[in-house]
Amino acid sequence: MTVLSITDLHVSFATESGDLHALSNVSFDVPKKRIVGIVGESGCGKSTLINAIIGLLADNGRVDSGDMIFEGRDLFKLSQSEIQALRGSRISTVFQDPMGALNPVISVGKQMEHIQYRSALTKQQKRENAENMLRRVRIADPKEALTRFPHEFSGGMKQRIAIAMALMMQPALLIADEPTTALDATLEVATIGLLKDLQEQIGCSVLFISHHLGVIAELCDDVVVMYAGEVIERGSTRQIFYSPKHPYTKRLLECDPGSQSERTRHLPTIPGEIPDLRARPSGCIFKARCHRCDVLCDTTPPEVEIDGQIVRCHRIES
Amino acid sequence: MHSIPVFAAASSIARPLRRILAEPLGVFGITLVVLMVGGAVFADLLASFEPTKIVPRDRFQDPSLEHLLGTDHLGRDLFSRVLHGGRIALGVALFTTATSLIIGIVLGLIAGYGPRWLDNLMILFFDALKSFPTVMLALALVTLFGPSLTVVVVVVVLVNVPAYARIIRTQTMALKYAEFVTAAQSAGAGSARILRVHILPNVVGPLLILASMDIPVVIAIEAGMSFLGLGVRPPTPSWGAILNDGFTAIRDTPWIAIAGGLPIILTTLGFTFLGETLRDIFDPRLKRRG
Amino acid sequence: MILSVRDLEVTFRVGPPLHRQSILGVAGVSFDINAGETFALVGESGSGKTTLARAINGLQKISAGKVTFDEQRIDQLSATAMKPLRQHMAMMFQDPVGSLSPRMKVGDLVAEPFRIHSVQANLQEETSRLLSLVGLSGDFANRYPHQLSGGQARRVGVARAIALNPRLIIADEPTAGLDVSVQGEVLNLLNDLRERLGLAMIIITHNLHVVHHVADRMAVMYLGRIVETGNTEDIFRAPAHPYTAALLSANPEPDPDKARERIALPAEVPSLLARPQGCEFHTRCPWVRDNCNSSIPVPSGESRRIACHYPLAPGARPP
Repeated sequence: MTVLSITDLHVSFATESGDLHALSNVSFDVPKKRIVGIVGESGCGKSTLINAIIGLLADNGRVDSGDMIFEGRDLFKLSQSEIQALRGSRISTVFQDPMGALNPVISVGKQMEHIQYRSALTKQQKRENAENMLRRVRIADPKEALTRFPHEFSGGMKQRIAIAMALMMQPALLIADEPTTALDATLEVATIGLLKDLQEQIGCSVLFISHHLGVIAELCDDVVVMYAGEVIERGSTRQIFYSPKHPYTKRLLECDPGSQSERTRHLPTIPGEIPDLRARPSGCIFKARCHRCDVLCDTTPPEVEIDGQIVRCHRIES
Repeated sequence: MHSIPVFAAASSIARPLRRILAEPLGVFGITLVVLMVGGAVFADLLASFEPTKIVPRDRFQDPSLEHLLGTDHLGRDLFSRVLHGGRIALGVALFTTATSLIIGIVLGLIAGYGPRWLDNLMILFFDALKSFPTVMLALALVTLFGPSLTVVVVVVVLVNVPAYARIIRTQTMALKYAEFVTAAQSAGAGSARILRVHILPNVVGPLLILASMDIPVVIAIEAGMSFLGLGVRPPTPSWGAILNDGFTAIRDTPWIAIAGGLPIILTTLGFTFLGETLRDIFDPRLKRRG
Repeated sequence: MILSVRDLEVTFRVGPPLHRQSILGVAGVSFDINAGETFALVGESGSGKTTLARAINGLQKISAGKVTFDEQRIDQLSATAMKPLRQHMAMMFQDPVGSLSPRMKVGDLVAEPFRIHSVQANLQEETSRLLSLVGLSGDFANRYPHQLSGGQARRVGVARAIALNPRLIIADEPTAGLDVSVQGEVLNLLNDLRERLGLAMIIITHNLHVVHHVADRMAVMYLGRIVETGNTEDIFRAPAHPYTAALLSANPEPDPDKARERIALPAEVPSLLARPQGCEFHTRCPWVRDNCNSSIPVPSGESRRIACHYPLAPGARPP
């Protein structure tokens, strides 16, 4: 059972200097009750992908082709009001900055009541729901917390409130965009633990975007690796971390300082930059920076499947 | 090697110009501005008559090929008077705006970057100045010093400086703790250098756009004072003075009033449209252009 | 010894004019740095590490304590007296692009230290030399900060910092905002320059993996105090302070099967306005005992200093 299925998605933006191809040929699935991590660095297209899913692409962005099926419905064929009905109830989001979700001049309790505007409960019942949700995200003294304002909470607590608000309507899919990047290490792991527990209790799927490999390894069931707008590899977490097949994935894992247990004075890097997305090179998107590239790589690489792990590369060793 | 561009480096003059021309309002504005400024600059060439030459037998003539806007009650060619009046209007406007900008920027930088007590003192001073209604200030100064162009200039500067200083002050305070300012302090840069090299180029942009939209206001103040007889002395052809003549002679011909009022309207429209277009172009939030 | 800090305190006054309160951003810190050494200051938000760095660099007023740089006391110097010293102690800031003046070209930014200190030199040559030292081609001199990537902006920051051959560089979160695949570039560059130019470095970070690779010695800060100082290798192998142990366990590694021996810390960091009594970590310490809330532990030890009543044995787990 798949909650979200994306097939051959192409998204581009019209700019003064030409069309910018932000996403090319993106395909992956989010199965029910699974946590799927998206790993990628700047320019990989993560934000564009999220905006495309929730239907909030900028005015100069357009979907050139592809399908997005959410709970059996084609998201691109829905009207504005139908998509709006989905947001917050079936698909909800948590962002890096919790103040993106929290209104600074309305009390937390009131905001959590407002989110429940679609349900036919009484005000008292909505308030109780909110209190329970705050308790679930381990906010101390939840009843009293409802009366307070966002600025009275610390960064980590605000993020937990944002998570509570996102999960209160029991969505089918939670999209979390770098939710812990701005938090300290100890807070980060506590929040990840919380997310994992809540996901099990509520039974939703999670699309978790991060550039922090350690967190992805710990939290996610499946991993999608993106580079310059393409999905270059995807598979289960174990497959990606223990047997990465794409040269970019391999190098990325090597570069993470956490993956080196021994002290080294010279850390590996991937020299070069992502290609200009206004003029996508033909063939493999990674060829300019790949240490294993050869003449073959000037043609579009095929998608090779090994045991459920899918790699877009010419030069796979078995 | 040391160049500090005012606008973002990536755009030379060509790009903003192209974007101004992409907006209908921008085209309209820039055309009017060019017309009015051109008329003032080339007044000597374009005017076929001397603006102060009195020819009593030609008075109250309607517009014709010879006198494009007709003549006034003393037979003077209105078109020539308007062109030369433009010199006064635009000259005053540009000079006072420049002076207000310089004083306002310096005071604003000091208030924003300096110690708290200095800032409080300056704000007190600015607010006191701003609390005078413009007309009363003008009347007071005229009473003290007699009517003249200088009084007009002083009035306008006194009115504009607190407003400009406030804007620069706020922007400066926003940048005071910016990381690139701290980096400069860490490298040993003194306050003067930081204000001149690091803060000034980043705060002056929005103010320039605002100031360009103030030019019509200055023109209006000058015209108003001249209309009341408190500004330039006759026979100097200020638009406001022409307007005044027009009202007195309204029963004889409407053209004098039109000749006085029309340039004021056109200049105001031109600069306002241009300024609004510039503001829209440089507003970082309006990034809709595809 | 190039830098010596003794009992440094930084106090902030906060609150409305009639109800002013004092908070100790840095509450008594002591450590030394030797020439050519890389020293890491590690801590989370509110630990005071950035305040400490700014205080050493003279950007923050010091309320008490001594700072000696190159045999000269610098803690109470006026801005004018401090200026010549700034040629020898340079700082790099957290935001790579934000710490570069937006309307100045890269060339002018790198040459600025020369201008500020009126150093006679051929600026064009020096700028090219510095840019190539950090691995940027000469034509970068004409670019503006917003035209640089995060990694490139960082390098410009490094070039600017080493312009006048300082003896000490303070780097605030040098890898913040950088992709994993380019973090190594900055760190390798700093290591390389350190060897070539004989620099000492203070690296402020909360990324422990980076510390492991780059720092010879490190200090862990909590609520404005140093709780543990020592050799990086020794501390990583056997952390002695409970907070250090928890911090080390809180950095997930990119390994799905890694046994999650996480030491979970309860509750939030206490507010600086309401510091706990006794050992300030006792409210969250998994090994807390009776006298921890009454007496303040004094840092003990020579090269390895620990501020704890009951330092941990190697491999200790919470009870």
